[in-house]
Amino acid sequence: MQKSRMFFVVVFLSFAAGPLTAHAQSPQSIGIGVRPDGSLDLLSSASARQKRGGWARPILEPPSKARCSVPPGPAAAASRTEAADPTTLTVLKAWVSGAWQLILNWTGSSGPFTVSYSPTPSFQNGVQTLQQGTSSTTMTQNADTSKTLECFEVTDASVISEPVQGIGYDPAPAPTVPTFASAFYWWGQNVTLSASYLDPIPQSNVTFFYDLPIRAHLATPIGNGYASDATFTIPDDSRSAYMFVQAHGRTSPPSPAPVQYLQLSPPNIGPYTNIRGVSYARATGKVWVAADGVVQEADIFLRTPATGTTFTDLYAPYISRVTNSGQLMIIDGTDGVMEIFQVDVSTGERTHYAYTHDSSFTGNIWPSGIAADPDGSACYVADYNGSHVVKIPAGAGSGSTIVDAWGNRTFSFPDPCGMDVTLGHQVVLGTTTWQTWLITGQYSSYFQYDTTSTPNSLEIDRDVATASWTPWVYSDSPFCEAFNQHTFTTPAGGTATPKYHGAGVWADNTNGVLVLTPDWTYGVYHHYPQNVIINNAGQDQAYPSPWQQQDKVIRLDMTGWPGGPLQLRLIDPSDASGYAPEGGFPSQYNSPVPPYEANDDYGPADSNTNTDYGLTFNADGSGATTTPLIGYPDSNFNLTAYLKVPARYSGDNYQVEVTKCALGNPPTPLPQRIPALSSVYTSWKRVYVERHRMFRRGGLLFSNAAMNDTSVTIYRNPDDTRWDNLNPNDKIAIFDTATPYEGPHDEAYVGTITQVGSSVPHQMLVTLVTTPGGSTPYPLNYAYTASPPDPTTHWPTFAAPTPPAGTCAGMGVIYSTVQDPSGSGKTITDTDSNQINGTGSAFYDADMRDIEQPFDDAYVEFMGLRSGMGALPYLAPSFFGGFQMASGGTCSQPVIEPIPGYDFIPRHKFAWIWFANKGLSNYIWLGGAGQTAQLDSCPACGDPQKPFPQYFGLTTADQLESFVHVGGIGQVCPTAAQEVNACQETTNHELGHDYRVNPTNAARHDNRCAWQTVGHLLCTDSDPTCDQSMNGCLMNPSRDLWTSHHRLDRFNLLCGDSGCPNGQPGCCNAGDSGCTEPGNGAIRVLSDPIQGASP
Amino acid sequence: MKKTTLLFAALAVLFLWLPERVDAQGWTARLIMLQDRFIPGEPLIAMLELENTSTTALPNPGTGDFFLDGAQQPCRPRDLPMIQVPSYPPGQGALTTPQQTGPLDAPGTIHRQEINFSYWCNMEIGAASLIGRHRLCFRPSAPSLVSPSDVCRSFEIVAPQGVDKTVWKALPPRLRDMLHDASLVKVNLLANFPTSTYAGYALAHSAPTLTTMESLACLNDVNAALRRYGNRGGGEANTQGHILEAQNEMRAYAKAAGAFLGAHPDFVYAPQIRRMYAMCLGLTGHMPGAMAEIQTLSTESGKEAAEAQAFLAEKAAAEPKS
Repeated sequence: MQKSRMFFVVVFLSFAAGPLTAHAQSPQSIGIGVRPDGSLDLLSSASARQKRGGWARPILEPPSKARCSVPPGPAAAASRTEAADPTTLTVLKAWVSGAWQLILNWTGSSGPFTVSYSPTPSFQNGVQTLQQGTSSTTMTQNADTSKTLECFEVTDASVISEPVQGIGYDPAPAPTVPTFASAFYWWGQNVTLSASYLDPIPQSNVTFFYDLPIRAHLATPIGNGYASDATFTIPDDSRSAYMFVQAHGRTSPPSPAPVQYLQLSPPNIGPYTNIRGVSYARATGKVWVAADGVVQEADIFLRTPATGTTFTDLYAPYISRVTNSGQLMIIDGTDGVMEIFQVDVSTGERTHYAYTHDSSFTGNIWPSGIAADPDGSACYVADYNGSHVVKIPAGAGSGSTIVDAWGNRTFSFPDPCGMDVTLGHQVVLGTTTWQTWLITGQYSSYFQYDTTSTPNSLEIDRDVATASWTPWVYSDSPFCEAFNQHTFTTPAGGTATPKYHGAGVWADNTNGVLVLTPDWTYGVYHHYPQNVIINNAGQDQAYPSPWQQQDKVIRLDMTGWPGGPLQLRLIDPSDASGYAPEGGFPSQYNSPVPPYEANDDYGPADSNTNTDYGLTFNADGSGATTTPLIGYPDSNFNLTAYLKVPARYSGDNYQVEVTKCALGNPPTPLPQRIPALSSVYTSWKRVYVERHRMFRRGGLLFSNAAMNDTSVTIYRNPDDTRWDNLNPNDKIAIFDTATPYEGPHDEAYVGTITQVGSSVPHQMLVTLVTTPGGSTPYPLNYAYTASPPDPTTHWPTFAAPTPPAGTCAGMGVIYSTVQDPSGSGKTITDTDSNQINGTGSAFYDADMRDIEQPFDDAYVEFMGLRSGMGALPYLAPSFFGGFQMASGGTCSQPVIEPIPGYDFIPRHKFAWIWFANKGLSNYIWLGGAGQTAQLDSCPACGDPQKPFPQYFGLTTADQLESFVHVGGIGQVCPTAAQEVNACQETTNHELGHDYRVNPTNAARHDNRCAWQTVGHLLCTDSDPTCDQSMNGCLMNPSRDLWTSHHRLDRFNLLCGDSGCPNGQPGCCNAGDSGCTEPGNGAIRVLSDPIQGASP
Repeated sequence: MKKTTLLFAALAVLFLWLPERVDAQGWTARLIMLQDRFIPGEPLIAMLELENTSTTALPNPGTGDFFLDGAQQPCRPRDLPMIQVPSYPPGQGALTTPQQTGPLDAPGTIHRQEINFSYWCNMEIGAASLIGRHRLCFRPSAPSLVSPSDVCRSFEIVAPQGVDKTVWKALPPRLRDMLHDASLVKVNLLANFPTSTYAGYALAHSAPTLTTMESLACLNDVNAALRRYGNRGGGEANTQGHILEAQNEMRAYAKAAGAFLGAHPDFVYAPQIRRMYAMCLGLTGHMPGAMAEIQTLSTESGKEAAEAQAFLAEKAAAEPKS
């Protein structure tokens, strides 16, 4: 069966007292609706057309006018400069084949290129990486006419992209539309999906066999951080599906290449010629097929399907639907038929049902279809010889019980003819003129609807029909609705009860096979794996799904019969995370049976304190409950409900199960009729990061500066050594929080640097001049407020003589020809915003460019907004002390501990001063920094050829602040690539600390391997220690910092600290006495979302 | 007295003496509480001293951990930073054989470390509920080098009274920040409650900038000191502006410091406050008052007293002999 021929209509018929009342509904074909989010819906075409009309937007720009290429940065960034970008991008808009296309061309570099997209010029919202590492210089994609603006950027390796500047990283590209080789597959077989940008870790690739998510077990890495294909074993009970694949939290799009439909066809069944009928036997769960020369029973819901009772003494048989008592009617012959048989579907016994002639009816029937009354009392044959419907009662053959021209009308029957009988003994049939008719008696028939195809097959939904209410569907291909009644084999090898998962069984007469599809009658829209953001931290960043309008709540749209009740039940499929055990965590939840059991939640799932989730009909998510709901589709066949996911986990995934209900008050759910499951909704957390870059050189103002001052005083260290690293003739920027570097501020050249004051430590007086080496004083244009010193320690306190948050005036060198004497030997030549730690950079930058690699595994989306980000004044290494080598540590394998009693508060206050978004939930402060103080108690560690040990990063989770000591890392990195990797690794590591992973273990670190090196283990297993540095987890101090391999372990991600007693910070349950920050030390669990804290 | 009696007496003396005995072969640890009675919210300050009481140069013994009230786990501040440990890339980390010796400390060397254990042991959180007696112990990280291996001191937290009670009720709960920042500003501590105990800490740790860049000797030429601070170029008006700003700051400080020292002359940080108080007075035109405070300061102990004594001595030497 070709998908283009899968026509069907959802129609219902209601009987009021008296004449029929037909609800006009145009017949429709299945269509593929492309949603504004790029998702793909399976809809009836009328609905799709309707919605498409709603989505249409006026074309905003004429074809000749490219709207946006490389956008400008924020206008307020007065000091924002960019290194020359060699790549020039042009964007043309053209009307091609009925759609607006954007044609991107770029020149000026040989690449490789990254192509970025965002609907906002700031590249902070809806950012996508369209291509990565490509050498192509052109690209075409359809314009999104729902957007008022679409922005593109192409960068090569010489500069960082706008997304890196906007959110901190280039999002991993979504996998491309996957392709596969074969026309048909089946359960248990492997299918290899080929696509770009797959994850090289097999288990991190997930695809969906309609409503069954499954992880890959093979992948082919291609050496650029991605894989080119992934191989999946098709799970039992799956259905044919449009194939999507997920990797690194993103899903392949529905365009530009058409999404391919992977068809599941039961092997060993067929092939057949001219399949005329497919019927489902509810008593046995098997399917009957009528084709040339055969009527055959098929048990298809098996990994190895099998045929059953087979009748081959037939020529061109037609079969009816199965009656209530389990009888299937067969009529065979093309030119005159003598007899109708019945088959007991339970025993396979074929017996005589009726003859086709009696004393009053002697004509030759040329059958093109047969329908049986559900009670078995009669059958109806479409006779295209006489163009009549002939009613043949059971046992006919004598007397005059056969009635020709039932309905008193001449029809033009297709072959096969779709027809069925209602519980009210009325016949519904289709005609070759694309019409449906209802025959209510010998002399009455009523036109029903025009169809959009030849209704070769028609089936009444007898599960929910009543004598006065009859819903039916039709198609041009023989089909039936069926339900899997077989038991499943669980991952643990046991069996579980049948789940009665609904399906459509379709005849593919091109190939002579059956195809198993979803039960389209009860489609759930938006059937596209979607991410649900559980905490947007009050920011205005768009949700990834257009169906989500508030945290945790997403809209579900379903289709069913108008007024026909449906039961909606929340279910929790297995965790599809690459590191989760197959089938979830049975030690916690007994025997999981995919896809139905809530088995992925380790820890205090569903505790009494976390009940605010479930399903509701309220758009605001109120009243959400895990108790199944009963809903009624409206006259447009639509039912809208809302899923509210719990806040407790990221990576939690949910589906909604739709169960048919019998009419009644209250309606009665039919537990063996589960025709539909929704797509998989996975909760994601968002964390915002305020990034700050620290000047590589500069100083800290010791006392306030006033307008027109031509010199400033700056700090020295308490031991009277220099804090600053200024040189005469350096060009410096002077700024503070009120007059930040990012806005208008003073820039001058250093004249002289002399001591001032009579006390020790002395301060330094820096004179300002207008030109390098000049003598013309530079008067300040602005006033700056310095941090007051502590008279006891002589450190800057970063305290607040005035509220609310303290002060910190400082300076940074923006140009210097003096080589850095402390290590790199670099000069300062640029302040470019599109460089990170580049040659000549004035700044130390923490580097978030790899943040997705570890945190996608945790279902956490980081966003490094520009809000608040800026430059920090230079802080001396001496300020970053407080740690010492612990007992047992060596210089080559350091074990480091805080110096007892060391006061870290000034460090926090420095961060507070610059943390513009402090107090907001899920907002982390991330600062780049230089070198640290030498570790105390290790004075002899320094090899004369090597620098002294420093630490590379520091996080205070309570304060949501992290420093990445780029200067310290750079001191020991012999290659630029290693330095980049180490900076990114350290950034990832420090942000991991903000989740309080391992609160009780290894000084809040761990000694475990990254998850993909140990396979799937249970949280209760002991995870091997990882002495292989390359395999070390991101939080493992012994890991290799210098590669690009940065993944967490399962404990960090989901399981939590196994030694976690209550009472430890980040290591207790909500509601426990003294537990102020619930969590068990894992990123996905209760310790998130991170709550804001006011200074 | 019988021999046995003498023996037992000697043993008793020995046992009494042992915990505080000086180990001639190593370092001796002393834990000194700057006070033995605190009120909630008051920084709990202890001084750790490690003295080389041997007759030879010894390696630095490192530090150790603090334990509160018999806890098994050592004190750690709640917001203790976590760090990314250093290492070297493969093939690049061939450091010399680790050596933990380092420079040796001569006999008599004393390492002092002041520890705010209300921060380090998280005692500021819910401190009101901690009213009562407590015990703080120090255990060296290298017990083979340091004796005793467990040195403890007791202290008491008592309920605040009078103005301290008023301030305590007005302070925000995160008392850790009380010494410097907005928490104090919210209750305008120095202006409204200068005689409270809490004000003393604010005065000790937040002094006018000029007093920290100058010594008492600057009072010998007040005008020069003020101009040294105020002259940043930009003309005389700018210089006078800086001086005025500094003097206003110092006047405010002096007002609060005078009130506080009058109420708490024996405050643990009184010498530091008095030194700055004297400088503020002298640099704002109140030299007699400044000299009186310096005289008082010179009678105390510590480096501030020594500076005062030196100042007075120099001043006396410079005065013409009658």
